[in-house]
Amino acid sequence: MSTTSLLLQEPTSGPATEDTTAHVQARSLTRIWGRGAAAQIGISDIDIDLHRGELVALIGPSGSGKSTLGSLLAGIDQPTSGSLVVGGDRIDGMRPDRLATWRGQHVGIVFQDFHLLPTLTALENVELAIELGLARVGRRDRRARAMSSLEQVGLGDLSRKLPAQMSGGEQQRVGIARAMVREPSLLVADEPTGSLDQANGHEVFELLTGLAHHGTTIVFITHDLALASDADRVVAMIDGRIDSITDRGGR
Amino acid sequence: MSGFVHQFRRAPGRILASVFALALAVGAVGVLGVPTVAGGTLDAAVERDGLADILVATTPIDADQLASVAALDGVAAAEGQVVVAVETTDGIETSLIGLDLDDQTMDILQLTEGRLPAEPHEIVTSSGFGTVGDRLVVDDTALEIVGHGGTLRWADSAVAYVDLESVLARTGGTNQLVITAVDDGIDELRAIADAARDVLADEGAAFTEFPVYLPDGSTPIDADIEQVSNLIGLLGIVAGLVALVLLASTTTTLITERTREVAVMRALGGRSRPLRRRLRRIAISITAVGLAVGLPLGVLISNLIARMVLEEFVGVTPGLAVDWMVVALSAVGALLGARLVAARAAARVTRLPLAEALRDRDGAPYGRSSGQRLAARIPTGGLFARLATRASLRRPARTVAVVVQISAAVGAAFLVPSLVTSVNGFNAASTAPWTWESLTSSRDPGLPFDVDGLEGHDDVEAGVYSFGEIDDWEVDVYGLESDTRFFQSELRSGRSPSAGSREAMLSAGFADRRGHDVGDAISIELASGPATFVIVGTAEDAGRALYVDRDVLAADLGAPGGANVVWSSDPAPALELPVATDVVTADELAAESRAGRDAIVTIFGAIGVVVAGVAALAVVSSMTVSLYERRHELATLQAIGARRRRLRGLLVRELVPIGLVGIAGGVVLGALGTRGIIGSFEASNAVDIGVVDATGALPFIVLATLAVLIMLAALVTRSVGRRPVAVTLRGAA
Repeated sequence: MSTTSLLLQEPTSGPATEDTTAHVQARSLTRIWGRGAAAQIGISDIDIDLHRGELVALIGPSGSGKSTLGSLLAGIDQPTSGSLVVGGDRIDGMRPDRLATWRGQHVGIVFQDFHLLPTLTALENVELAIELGLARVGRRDRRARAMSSLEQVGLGDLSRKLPAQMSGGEQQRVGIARAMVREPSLLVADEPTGSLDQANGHEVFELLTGLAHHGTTIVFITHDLALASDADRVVAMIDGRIDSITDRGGR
Repeated sequence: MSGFVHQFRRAPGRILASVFALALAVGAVGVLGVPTVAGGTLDAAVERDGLADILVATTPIDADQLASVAALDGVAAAEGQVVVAVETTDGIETSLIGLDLDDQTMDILQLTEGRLPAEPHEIVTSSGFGTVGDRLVVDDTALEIVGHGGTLRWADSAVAYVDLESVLARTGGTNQLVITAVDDGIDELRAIADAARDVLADEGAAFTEFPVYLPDGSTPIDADIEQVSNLIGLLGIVAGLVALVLLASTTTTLITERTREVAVMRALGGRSRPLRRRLRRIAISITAVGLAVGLPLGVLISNLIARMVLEEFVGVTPGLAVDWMVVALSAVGALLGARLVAARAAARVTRLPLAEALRDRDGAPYGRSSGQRLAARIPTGGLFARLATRASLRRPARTVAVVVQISAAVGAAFLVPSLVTSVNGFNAASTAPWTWESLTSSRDPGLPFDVDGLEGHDDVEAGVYSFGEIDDWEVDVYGLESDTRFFQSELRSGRSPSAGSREAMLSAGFADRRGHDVGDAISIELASGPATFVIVGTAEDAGRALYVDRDVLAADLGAPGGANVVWSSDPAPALELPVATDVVTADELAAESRAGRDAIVTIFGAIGVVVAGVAALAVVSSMTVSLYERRHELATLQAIGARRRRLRGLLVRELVPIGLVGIAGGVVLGALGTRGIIGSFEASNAVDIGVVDATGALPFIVLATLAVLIMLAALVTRSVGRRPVAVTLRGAA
């Protein structure tokens, strides 16, 4: 991927053209915290479609709403208004337990702060994602898949380490292994390379690109414009709205 | 204080919970003040009433005989009083207490309402006994109530006080001798009583009951108060223990959760010493607020319980009193404890490697200790089981604290019913040897019944019931027919006394504790003076009693052929007796025994509820804080697909083992506590009481404890589930 081939588009305004092939369809998506004078707008009136196997980079300054949009797409937050359909499931307004099950089956999340469970080893953290999302996988198979996922991120040797015994970069890679082990249809990664050096960051990006090639829709939230330029589309946000969408046109 | 305000703004719910729990714990320590509050009231009453040092019933004595006693060495003053058992025309059984109202130096009547009697037909009654202006008719004489009041000696009875002169005619002389000694040591009082007995004997009078000695300003219920105080002290220690654990865990939490904040300050150049000082101030300010609420609460609790104790055992309502020593020690202990624990926690927080502390979200990185790393290498059970186990290992001090708190709650909850069942068992064992349906006893002193006069009745048996002292222990002395039908105790050793012999049977528990065996000669101090018997058997009667031949005892007491009790197989025997009597049936006695037990249960139940409540609150407070700290972990689990049911299951897996260990510890604590308390009773009374563990209460205690923990898990899960996962996780970041 190259930054030179980016195609600038006008920012979206009003409902997007109906795209029946879209894996993710967000319409008038708005998230506001608080009420009245204390109301704080996270995102406002967002329309966006994401396709299967597409790698979309969300960029923008701090407070622009990238993480809020990512949280809504991942189903860990609920919009104040608007609709959100992922893989044919309308998830806005879904009840918490159903949403949790849905996340377990369809979504992988990589957090900026890793959010590994501190009392579980790297392998167990990844295994836990399988247990919660793919209940029918046997213990042995679960372990093998978790190990394979860790090996993919280059952490096969550290599988028995606890998060406190690992560096930030290693913990982030465990988080990525945990997110991708269930082969989700949607993976939301919130600044996954923030704690990594350039080489490791690129490695992680390549991993995500590989997942996208296998049909996973990737939402990649980053400040790294160099990495973002390698995405299929770059969505730039500002003040809770989409400022521009740059389509590389590759997919 | 600004530290407290700042912390309060930061997490008002948790700070309030900590302060409230701490305050209640400090308040519970206030029960330690009960003995002082109660003792202070009694001392004040003794001082006010001029309670005599020796109280003894006598045959009627006149002014000359009284003067002879007053002239004895060591006697400061001797007064005669009259006690007459009467029944009003309304059927109220009471006693007329004749006092020399114009010239009293002892047992001074204290008025609470109205005035003293000025006429022979005027009386003052105990509070609640009639109303001023009412008339009681006794033997065709109308007595007008002109006031209410009482003396400490009769505080727990409903009696009527009259001027001495107006009742002297009924007895032919005073029949109660009260003496104040120059020196009120017990040995001096015994010497005076012996001398008084001899003087009266020389002049044809006698003691009809064993003297009551009140040495060193004591009161007749000092022994009861002391036992109650011992119990309260034990429960107070449990409360204090819980308070300390709670204080330690609250303080540690308040500091540890600031690990990251402190790390940031260190990274920005903050020096460790001022940071530690700041952390200590936070803990101490919260403890100070807890004390500000808890100390008045403690004073209130101690006064409420002291009031219950004194009203039950003495019939005296105490005023508000404060045990400043307990207040001061609670305050100093809490502040010192908070300072020490805070210093330790602050030192740990400021010594953590900076990089690790900056990464840490909740002050408890897992994997620092070898035990934690070892646990991570033992993949026992499923992933959720491992999460649960390791969560307990993550903060071992807190886990231990919660276990101790649960143990204290369960211990208190088990101890109280165990005391009840033990008291029940003791009561049952005390009455078990007696097979009568009714007991008729003389309400006047001495042995006024004529045994020969009762010979014709098949269903009755006359006996003697008196008191004596063996080895300075007061004992019940029973004079029984050798072939008695109404007393059939199991024998631990030997046999029953033979007819007409100076043989005796002694309570087995007392005999064991005092080292008396079958074959020993035993000396007993009776109202009439010393007497000697030979022990031929020991009885399993749960009491402290000596059983001898009735006629021998009556002769020893100076009334051959006399008796003062009649046992009967008929609940309402038709007896013609020469004096006023009390009749009590076996059912009434059992009910009375139950009422006495209920009163004790109420008092200790109240203390137990305070201790168990404080401990339960401490558990809930600690667990809430602990679970609150883990909200990010729970949110992470939700983010990767865990439903609330799984979260609840995880918390239950965590809490139930802790709860079970706590319950086990509590049951042991309760059982040991019961044994300690009963043991102290046995030692201080030289009797066998025996412990009956309230095993029937255990299922309820276990279920209640587990229910609280499961409910806690459900509440936390519910509160976690209400917040969007992203919001909680952002809070973590």
